Amino acid sequence: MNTTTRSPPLRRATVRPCVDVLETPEALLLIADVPGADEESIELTLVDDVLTLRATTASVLPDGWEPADAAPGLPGAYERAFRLATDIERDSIQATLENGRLRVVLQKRRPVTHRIAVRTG
Amino acid sequence: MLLDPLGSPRSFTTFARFLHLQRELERLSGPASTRPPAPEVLAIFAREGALLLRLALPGCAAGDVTLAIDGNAMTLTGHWPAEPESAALLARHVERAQGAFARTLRFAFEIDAARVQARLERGVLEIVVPALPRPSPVRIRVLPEARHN
Repeated sequence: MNTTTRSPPLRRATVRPCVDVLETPEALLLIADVPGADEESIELTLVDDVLTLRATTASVLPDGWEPADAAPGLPGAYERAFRLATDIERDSIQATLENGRLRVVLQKRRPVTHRIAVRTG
Repeated sequence: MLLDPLGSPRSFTTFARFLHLQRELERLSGPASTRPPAPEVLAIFAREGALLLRLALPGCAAGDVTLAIDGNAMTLTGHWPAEPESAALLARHVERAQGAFARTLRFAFEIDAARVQARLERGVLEIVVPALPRPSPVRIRVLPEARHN
């Protein structure tokens, strides 16, 4: 895009991205629409059972254009938090971003079976 | 608006407000069904003789979108791509748009279709919509009243 990086007089709101949550027996798939965000700006944190997504968009104004005031403007940031009802493998969370769409794969933690010996009295 | 010279940033900014009103009317008059929402206009910019629009198309690739120009109307058609594994997965929560979409934007000027440029990057479609130059004004001589014998 033909853009510059000077500070634009645009509204830079923080919005909640639209999200789908899909599930398989092994994993949860979270898909979030974050148009305008780039990979470096994506921040995913998992604290206790709360997964928080944050992303920012580039603050750019096309060179030689004047902003019109009718449209809401490209969001400055996206932010949303989710409480996970499922136990997640925290070390295997994977996220990819393509065409402004973020996909997060959260593997479920496999239940650990403890065999308890029963003794006869 | 009619008195603004074509191509002045002010007239295009005014027109941008009209686009906003058009969008609100579409939203209010649209059927209360599961019709997929049309792409949202995120930002409008103006310069002499042209507008620049930014629309949100998250998930779409360039091949998913078509632009058609007819006079002063520009129609954007395409489809929100479904996740390949969606059919096999259990949907726990769904907010994102799915299916085909179409959106027509009407401008206050004739679009110079040959110079329209569109670029899709990071889920944001940027379209430069130039106006066709208006023909030069023609002075018309008023003839005197014809004499009848």
